[in-house]
Amino acid sequence: MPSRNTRILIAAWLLFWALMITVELQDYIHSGGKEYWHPVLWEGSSGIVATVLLLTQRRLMRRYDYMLVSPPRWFSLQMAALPLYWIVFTPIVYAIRHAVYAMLGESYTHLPWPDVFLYESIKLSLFFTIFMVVLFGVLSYQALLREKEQAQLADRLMREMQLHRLTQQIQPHFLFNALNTVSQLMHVNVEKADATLIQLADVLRATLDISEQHETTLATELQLTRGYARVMSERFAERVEIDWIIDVRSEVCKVPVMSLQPLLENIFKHTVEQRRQKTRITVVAYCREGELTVRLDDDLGILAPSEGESKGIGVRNLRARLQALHGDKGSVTLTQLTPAGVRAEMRLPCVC
Amino acid sequence: MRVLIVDDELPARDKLRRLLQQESDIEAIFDAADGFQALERIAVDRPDVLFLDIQMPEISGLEVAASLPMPAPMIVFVTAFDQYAIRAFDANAVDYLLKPYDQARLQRAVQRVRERLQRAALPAPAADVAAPNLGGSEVLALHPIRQLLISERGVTRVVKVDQIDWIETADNYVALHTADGQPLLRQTLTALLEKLGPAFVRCHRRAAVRCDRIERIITLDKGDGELLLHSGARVPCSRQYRAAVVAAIA
Repeated sequence: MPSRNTRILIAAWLLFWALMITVELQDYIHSGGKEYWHPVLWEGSSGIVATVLLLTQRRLMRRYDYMLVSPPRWFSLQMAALPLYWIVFTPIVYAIRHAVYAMLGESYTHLPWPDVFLYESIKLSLFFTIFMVVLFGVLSYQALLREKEQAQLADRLMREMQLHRLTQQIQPHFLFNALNTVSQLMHVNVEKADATLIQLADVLRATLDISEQHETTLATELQLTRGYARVMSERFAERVEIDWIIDVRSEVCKVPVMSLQPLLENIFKHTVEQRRQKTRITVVAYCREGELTVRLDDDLGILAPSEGESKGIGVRNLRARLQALHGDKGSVTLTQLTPAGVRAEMRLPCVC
Repeated sequence: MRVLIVDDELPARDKLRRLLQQESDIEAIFDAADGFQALERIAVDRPDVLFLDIQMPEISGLEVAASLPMPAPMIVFVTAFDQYAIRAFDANAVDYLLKPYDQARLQRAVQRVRERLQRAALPAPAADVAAPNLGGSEVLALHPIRQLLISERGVTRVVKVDQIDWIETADNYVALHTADGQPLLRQTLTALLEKLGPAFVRCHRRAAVRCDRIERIITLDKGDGELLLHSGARVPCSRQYRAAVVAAIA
């Protein structure tokens, strides 16, 4: 069943051709014609061929719809197809008319071929241009609606994430244990204690931030995540080792705010804090062929079978935010590594 | 006074050690990074008091406390945010410290330990007779004891509480009857049952049973009886505990 919008478009298209046929018919009667099927055949054959050609063009050129944002490019691309219409349209339409006339034992008379081609091509060009303007309007309107919907969804998810962090994620355990660590570090290494306090402050500030901003650069997100990692590495000194393999070119990419740090926090919550052995974590970020990949691997984690798709509100919310910002091109996946370990991978489009 | 510090975070252990070293009457300070190490150290070093963190990998501090063999050392819980959980949790809990704490607060806790030690040195009633478990059941709802640590012949292993069918006293020990063996824990049945909460019910002076393992009650002479468990085991059920068992499985 076609969608409501599609049905409206089909109805409008049929009405338009009904109008064309009626005008032609009226004109025919006015000039004294008696065979009423003649004008119906003339306009009907034009309508059918035009419909088939335009549908074919839509199908082939749909993937260039992203050019709608720059109308001149979109229009010139569409208009490039016009000469093809000149060449193809008239022979097919006239072949149909000749065939139908012949089947009914009549012969179809018309202007000489050069005149026919000229006349039909001019008519077709006008019609084609008007059609493209209308199509542009319809498509732009649809894109606008979609964008508005996506923006509203992204806003809602942002609020949800912020609320969740404010109510759940300012973990008292994290905060008080970190403060206790600083309280000890001050007696051993004042510089380190100072640095740890500042990093703790950065993490808290990011957590409490309820700005309207949806995205930030990977560099900013990495800075926050490294701050969090340093605080945690002080606490779990002997139990965690983190490698950062970051492609500098990827740092300009835009990522959702609070996307990387929660993934690292997950590893600490579910693995480092739960295991007595040392956990090794690798954070990798690179940008290739228009796609940013950020990957966090640990070597001890175990993913409960059911958790793969919806582990915690944090990952679900991030997945939904990526979907709202990038559609199917943004994703976050959790996979079990062998022999042990969990991989969290975020992918999103990025020009680099 | 001999002290064992149990915390999985190194800076937290270092801080306690640094502050405790300043107390003149502390003769030895040991440390352990998790519950397994803690039980091993306790067997070897015989500490008078544990400074015990709650949130630790694999075995929580509360589970360590529930697994301590008699005579158990005193406990000072040291935690970031579980103060509700440890208030009046354990008869051996002397005090609790909230991280981060200062030296004065730690000294108050040490002073309490001192007083308790002096009282225990007198021939008066043992320290663990008193201290009713106020609010214990609420604590268990929040932080259930899911596993116990048992050290036998120098090997420490984990026994999941939901694998215990029934518990029987045996001299100074309790035997935990599970599908694969009957490990012994050096505790009293009463003290253990308090920590395990309502999943278990006492059915005899010398026995308790996990409620959901009871198949049926078999009545013998004079109102005494036996409980037939799903596993096929038979557990004595005496007259004075029968009503409690019936209520627990109703």
